Amino acid sequence: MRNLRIDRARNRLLDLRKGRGVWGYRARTTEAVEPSTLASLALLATDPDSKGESLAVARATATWLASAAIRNSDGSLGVTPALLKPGWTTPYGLLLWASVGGFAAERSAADRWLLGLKGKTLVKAADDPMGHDSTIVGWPWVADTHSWVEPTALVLLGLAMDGQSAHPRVREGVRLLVDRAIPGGGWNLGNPVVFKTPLRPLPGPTGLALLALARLDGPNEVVRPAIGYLRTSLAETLAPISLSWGLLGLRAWGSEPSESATWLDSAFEQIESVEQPSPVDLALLLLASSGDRALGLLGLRTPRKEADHG
Amino acid sequence: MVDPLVSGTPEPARPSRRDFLMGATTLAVGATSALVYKKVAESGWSADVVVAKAANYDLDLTRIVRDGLTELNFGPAQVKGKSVLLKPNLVEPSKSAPQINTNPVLVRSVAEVFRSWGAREVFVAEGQGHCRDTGFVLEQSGLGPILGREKLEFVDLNHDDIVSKPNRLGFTNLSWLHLPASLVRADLVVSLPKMKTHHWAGVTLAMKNLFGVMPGVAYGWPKNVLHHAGIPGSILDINAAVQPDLAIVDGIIGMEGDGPIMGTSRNSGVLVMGTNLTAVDATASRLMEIDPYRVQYLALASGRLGPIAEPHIRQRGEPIAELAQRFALLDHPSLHYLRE
Repeated sequence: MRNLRIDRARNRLLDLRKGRGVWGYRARTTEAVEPSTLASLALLATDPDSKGESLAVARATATWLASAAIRNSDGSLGVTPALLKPGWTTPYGLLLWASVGGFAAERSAADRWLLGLKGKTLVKAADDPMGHDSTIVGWPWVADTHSWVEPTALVLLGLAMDGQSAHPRVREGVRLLVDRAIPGGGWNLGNPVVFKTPLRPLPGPTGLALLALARLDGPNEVVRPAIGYLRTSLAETLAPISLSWGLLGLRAWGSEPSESATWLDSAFEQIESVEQPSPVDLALLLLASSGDRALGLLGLRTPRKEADHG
Repeated sequence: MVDPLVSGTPEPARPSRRDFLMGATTLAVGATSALVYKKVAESGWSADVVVAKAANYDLDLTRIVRDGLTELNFGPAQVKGKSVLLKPNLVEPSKSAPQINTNPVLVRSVAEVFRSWGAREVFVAEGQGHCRDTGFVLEQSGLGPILGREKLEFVDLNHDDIVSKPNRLGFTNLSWLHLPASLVRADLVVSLPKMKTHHWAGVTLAMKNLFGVMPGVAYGWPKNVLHHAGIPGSILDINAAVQPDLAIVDGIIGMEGDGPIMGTSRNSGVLVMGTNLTAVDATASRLMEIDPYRVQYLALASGRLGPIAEPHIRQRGEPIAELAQRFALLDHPSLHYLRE
């Protein structure tokens, strides 16, 4: 039953491609890097024939990412051909190019651009309401703004794929994720405490941060409470993006709950009733359903063991 | 050239939102930049604002909204055949804190009114500032199931196609504003905010709610570009660009203290409605017992985008004095200016 659902989701995903063979955020919107990359990775992760149609589709997407339609001369990627900055989508290129092989020049240029992009730091006044260390440099969504959790985690995954795990900027990015963890467990967009009040975590950023920390040997001190948060919160959502990033984060630490297959099945069932599903939703559900293959595409060959770092 | 928005003369016939966003209108970009922080006379401005009692969400909110809008002379003539975009405030999902987001029952009621007045289409749109996952926001806020039952389309403005336009008002140094293409689709934009205190802006109401039209793919999560550009100026620039047509503030249950997400609920039992968002926000601010002249974005908007002085706002419905409640503010030096 599960495989049938996956086959149907794969077929729907393929049907949602735009004219150029890549995907938009919605059926009616223009082609975009994020949905195209996630869809390609999802097809690769769920294709039993690793040299089949999925690889051809992924290679076509990778080629599009390398084209002047979406890639800037500085090596960064746009969001869509009509929105060529900001370049927060660039790490998606690194993930897909590494998965299909080749594209060495593009990967190298993207690495350089990302390593040169720094979130803005702030020196806080004594009564500043922000609870985090605003001097740690990570990655912003948009140049000349502060660093945030999701872009930092994505960049860490992308750079680690290119052998940059020991780079000082990568290590500082890991430090940023640790600093931005919410005291009770998990991450939100990157504001753990404001006006001395801990804010609420969110499953999506928590899953992404756990993936990045698993990939880069992050310390365990923030992992255990985050796992606890996800195991509780994921039981109460069928939202594909949150559920999927959350489950991938748990799997990266060998902590996926036994109910996860049921949760994913329910999420697939729900999305099957949607007339025009979001390609990102479908792609992430497929990635989360692919066992360890998705982790492999994100550079994690085997799940980390939380206990190994306790 | 004298800009009528800053000269105190009545607002001229403005280009339609669609004309503006499609670039069919010549704009004096940056012409007002030098006037930032100058106080502007309100003498040419007047606006009607309705304050309606609504003790809870179990009441017939459709009737209350319909009556309020009718009081504003806003009805089928303005709505028939139009595409209507409803913009609730869904800043962050939390089942345990329903005071964060516009109540889904109110969204449904407003949609019902517009449909009954012959709108060609009504759709709900948001580009929430904290959580990228729209599905999670809709699910946890309770709005998703209602949209499904009512067959109301939802548009994720964070991931929409983009229309880039010159910054018309120029209160920030942002030369261009990147706006979601779905604004072009809408003939009428309705801001449906929650009545809340805000630990950076003082209050968050109809005008600040339009931060949520700015697409995250261009501005990030949160919309940090706008924070760096300055929150009050960004509020003005966005409102001047979007040109919202109407606001209905959900003050049935509002939020006080550490808003916009960590504050506590406050039963205020009001809806505030009007076609000039500056006047609506000034009235809602008074209902929270916060002087609108102390709220920086409202002081800047005064005379530029609308009136905030009581003599320039024709108050309809319930008197403010009878329904005003002193919303608690966070006790922090950065917010003491609001009441001292």
